[in-house]
Amino acid sequence: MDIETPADLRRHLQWALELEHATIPPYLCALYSIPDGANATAAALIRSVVMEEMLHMTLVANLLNAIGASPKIDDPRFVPSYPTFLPHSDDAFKVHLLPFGERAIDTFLDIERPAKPKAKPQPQDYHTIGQFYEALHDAFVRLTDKGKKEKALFKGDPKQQVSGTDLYYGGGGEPIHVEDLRSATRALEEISEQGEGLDHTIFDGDERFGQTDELAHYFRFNEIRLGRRYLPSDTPAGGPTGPELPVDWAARYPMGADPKAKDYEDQPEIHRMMVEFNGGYTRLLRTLHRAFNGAPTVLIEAVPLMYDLKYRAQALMTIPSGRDDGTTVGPSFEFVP
Amino acid sequence: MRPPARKGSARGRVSSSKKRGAKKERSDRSGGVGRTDPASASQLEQFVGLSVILTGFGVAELWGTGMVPTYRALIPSIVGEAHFGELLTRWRDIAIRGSGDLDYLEELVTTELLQDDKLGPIARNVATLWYLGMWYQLPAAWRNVHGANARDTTFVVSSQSYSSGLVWTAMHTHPPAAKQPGYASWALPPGSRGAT
Amino acid sequence: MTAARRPTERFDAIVVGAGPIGAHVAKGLSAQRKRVLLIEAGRASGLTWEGYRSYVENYHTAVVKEPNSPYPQNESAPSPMAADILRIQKGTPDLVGYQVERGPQGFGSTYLRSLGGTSLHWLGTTPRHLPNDFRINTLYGVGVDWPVTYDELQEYYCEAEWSIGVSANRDDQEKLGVWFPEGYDYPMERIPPSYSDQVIAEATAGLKVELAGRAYAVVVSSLAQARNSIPRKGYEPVGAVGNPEMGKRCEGNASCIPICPVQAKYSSLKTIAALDPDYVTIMTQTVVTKLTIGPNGRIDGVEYLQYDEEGGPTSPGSATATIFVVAGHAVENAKLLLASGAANSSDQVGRNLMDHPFFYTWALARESMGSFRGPGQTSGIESLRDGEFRSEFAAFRIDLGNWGWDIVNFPPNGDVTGVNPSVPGAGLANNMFGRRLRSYLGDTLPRQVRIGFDIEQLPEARNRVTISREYKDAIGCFRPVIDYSVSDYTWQAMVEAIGISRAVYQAMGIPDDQTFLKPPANLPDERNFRARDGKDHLLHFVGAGHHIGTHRMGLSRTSSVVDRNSRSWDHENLYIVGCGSLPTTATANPTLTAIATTLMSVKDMLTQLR
Repeated sequence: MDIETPADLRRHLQWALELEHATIPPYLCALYSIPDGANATAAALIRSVVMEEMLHMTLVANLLNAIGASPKIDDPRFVPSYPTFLPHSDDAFKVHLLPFGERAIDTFLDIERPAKPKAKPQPQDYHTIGQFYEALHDAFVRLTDKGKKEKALFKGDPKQQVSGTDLYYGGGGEPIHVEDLRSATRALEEISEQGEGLDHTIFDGDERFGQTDELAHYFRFNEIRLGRRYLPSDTPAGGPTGPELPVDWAARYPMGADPKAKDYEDQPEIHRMMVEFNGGYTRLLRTLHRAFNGAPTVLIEAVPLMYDLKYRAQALMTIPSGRDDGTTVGPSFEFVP
Repeated sequence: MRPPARKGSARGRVSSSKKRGAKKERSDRSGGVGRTDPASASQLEQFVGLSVILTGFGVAELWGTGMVPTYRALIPSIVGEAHFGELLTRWRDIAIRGSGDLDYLEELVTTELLQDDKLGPIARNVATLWYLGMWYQLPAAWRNVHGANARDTTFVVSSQSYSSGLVWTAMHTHPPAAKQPGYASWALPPGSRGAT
Repeated sequence: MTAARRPTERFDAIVVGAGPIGAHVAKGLSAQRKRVLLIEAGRASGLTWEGYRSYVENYHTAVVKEPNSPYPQNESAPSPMAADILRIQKGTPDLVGYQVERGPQGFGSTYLRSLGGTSLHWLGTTPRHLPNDFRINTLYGVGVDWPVTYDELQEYYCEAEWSIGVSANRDDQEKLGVWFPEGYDYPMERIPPSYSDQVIAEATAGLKVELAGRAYAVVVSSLAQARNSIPRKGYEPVGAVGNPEMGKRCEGNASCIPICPVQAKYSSLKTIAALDPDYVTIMTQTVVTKLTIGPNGRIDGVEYLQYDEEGGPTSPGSATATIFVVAGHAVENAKLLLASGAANSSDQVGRNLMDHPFFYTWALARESMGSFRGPGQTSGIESLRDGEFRSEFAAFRIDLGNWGWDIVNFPPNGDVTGVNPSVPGAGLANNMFGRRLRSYLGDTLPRQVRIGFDIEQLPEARNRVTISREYKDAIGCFRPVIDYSVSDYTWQAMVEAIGISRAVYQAMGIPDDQTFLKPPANLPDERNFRARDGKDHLLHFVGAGHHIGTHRMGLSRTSSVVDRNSRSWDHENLYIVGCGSLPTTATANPTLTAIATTLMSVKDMLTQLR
């Protein structure tokens, strides 16, 4: 079913917001399960992907606001329960909350896998994220109807756009101010190219957005998985042929998969820590909601909340779960209503 | 001097886990985050239990620093297994007698552990390890009587031990140059989430 | 960055010292395509991210977290270390440390010899001097006038602020005569005031104090600082060297002194990393020992000693250029000039050594101030930096510290161990443990407030840096020998500071028994001072780390070492730049003003290199 109307587009952009967000807790679990100092390169690569996912959320929020829609984040339904399929995908694979490891990275590769050349845009039940964004882009083009309906479509209040000074998370990139088809296209391109690469290369084409070209997410994860760096001349088909990227798969806290707070009700101290984490996470989502709904400068309040979550997550990662399997606890990223 | 026995205390009796209801204990080879009967606790669990009483932080909070195994190994490497064993044995005895009554437990810790010439300085060092990530050289008086180990100098155990120091959590802040709370966090009222 | 070991080409300029001053000389000259040899005595480790992180780790594992604790002592190019200084007995040569002190007053300030210089460990405080600061002799009959005015230096202040990246709001700073050109603003927004600042600002709203019979308002305002915050249009914050996405905003590490782990704070590493290698050659681990003077009085070369391993053998070398710029820090500059017999027809080299004696009081607020968070200082009271009273006693810039009783008893270790705790009876040595200890720490330490006063000190010829053949370091270079004292002009200001502190603490509702206005007895270097009112006050101060005046600029070659362009009166191709050129201290941390005078000096240097 195509995206036919602005209302359809709003709904699908909200799905995009959920999609971008759904990848963040798994990436963070992998990242925070790496002890300080270990796997420094792999950790830095994962962190850089997380930063860009946060930028993607912001770009999608800007797209929603540009067409006069309200991003909805402060809602339990916004947050998936892990393990989960990617929202509105073809349910080809499940995404778990896992510690750093081959299984986690394989999932990340599935998430960021580039579409095959000539793959069709898919507004729902998409096979790759790239195909989903392709459908969104097509919808924008169709709905602006060669410029005739552009102004009507982009009716949102420019003051709701999140700008570069509102958002700073250390290297994700500049949010694009979305106000017309051209800027909407750029925003969508930035998202899909940072994820899967520009024009079937390994790079994300960020030079066009005023940053240096970097590897697309899929290829960053591939570097970790294969323990080898890409050279600028490498291609997706050829794989990385550069220097070794040392990865110690054992250097991670063995968080149990898909933790849930209620599983720890019989260990009250741990349960309390998990609930506090989830409370902080919920508060972060509510702050993002406010920021994306007319108060972009409020994003500054999100920063201390994010840092706080990191330390809480790392603390949970080192606590033995009390089960006999050597696992540790870990954050559950559950919405607290 | 030992305080007089309290009415209804668990002194002299083996533990009172039964009093708290029949919740099944989570197992504990990993050192255990659930409540464990002091009489049957492993050395690691005893060490954590002692650390809880000395620091005022909970079991999960201590485990959450990531430093439990490190400190558990470090202390005997400086004071010797024998002294470490005595420390835990004294604690075990105190824990059994004071079980269920935290005030009384703390009294026992004061009079029978901290004020003990041999075990007191070690116990204080357990606390400073947790709070500051530092080992302080034992007092000269202790070293003269019980031995001066070459590793017994004042030092910061590691970058991680410094960053995990509980003193900063107690102070509602973070260790300088680590666990930074983010831009503008210092403008937030203390106690707000993210303030640190 | 590998250091060039023996450059053979001819240079337009040789610059000694790669701190913020030397870095800005190199930047200004190379931007005009002049070839510069930048020589640094210390190491270059901070230029790689890995090297810099090793400094952070040194800090984490340091038992005594003093200003130079991240930067290991370097036997071949030693720096004064706080631990050494505290131990020094005045008048007795120190056999372990670097600095020799003859007294009568201890000189407790440190600096750092390394690529990056003291800007590695500085707090980053960068207010401008006030217009009146340049004319205190004319206005108040004390000290000396500068050979430049605020108006002349103003454009260089702007340039310096954009070069290093200063965060401030123009309207906070536009006071006491400080003016900015139309349309100017700082490159970044002010660093958010801390919660503690907000409490104090509210409590002191409308408060006035009396100084020499006149009332002055106490106004809390944001502190201008070289620390990354939200940029304004046209500015991109400069992140960490070797990791440029890091450090583009302050993250609240609360360790500015001695190190910013993410490099949100400016250090000259940033300026150095951006120098054009086609025009700037950098030699580190190279100690300049002498300037050689030609028969016509021009400087014709430098001699140096290079070392590969610290404490290891050195090999001598020399280099030459058209002009020479000595930018190695006020104390080291004086040492080098004296060792060379250069630039001293005035007999002022090394003399007029000044610091900002840093006086402090402390208190325990009734409620949490959220102490021990954020940059060391985010706001201050700048409204007492000038006034008629300066004819009688010194002015001061007031520092509202964010780090509790930091310099008083160095919390929190003593509060845990019970050795010199903040409150008697606290800590493990007093059997305070467990829940009680945790509560004590949480209830008490966040309530700690400490106010500091950067007090002006007047130039005195007898306060000086000299050298002596008896005192040399491991590679045979002179160690600095310090004679230091503080005059009544400054001591009296400390007495005034007591009164101001009392007024502020009272306005905050803090009871008298929780305010501490005098040091505990028996601190080394405390002084029982008889004030103008005839009363005795026990006073103590620490060094602020601001070394000023040792090669001061002036209008006359008989009473100054350099002219208004920091050019030596005695050697036409020699410049001596930095805080040592500033003739008085005023009440602002000197680095920003020193960079501004350096930028002005660079213009003059270029006239010699056409």
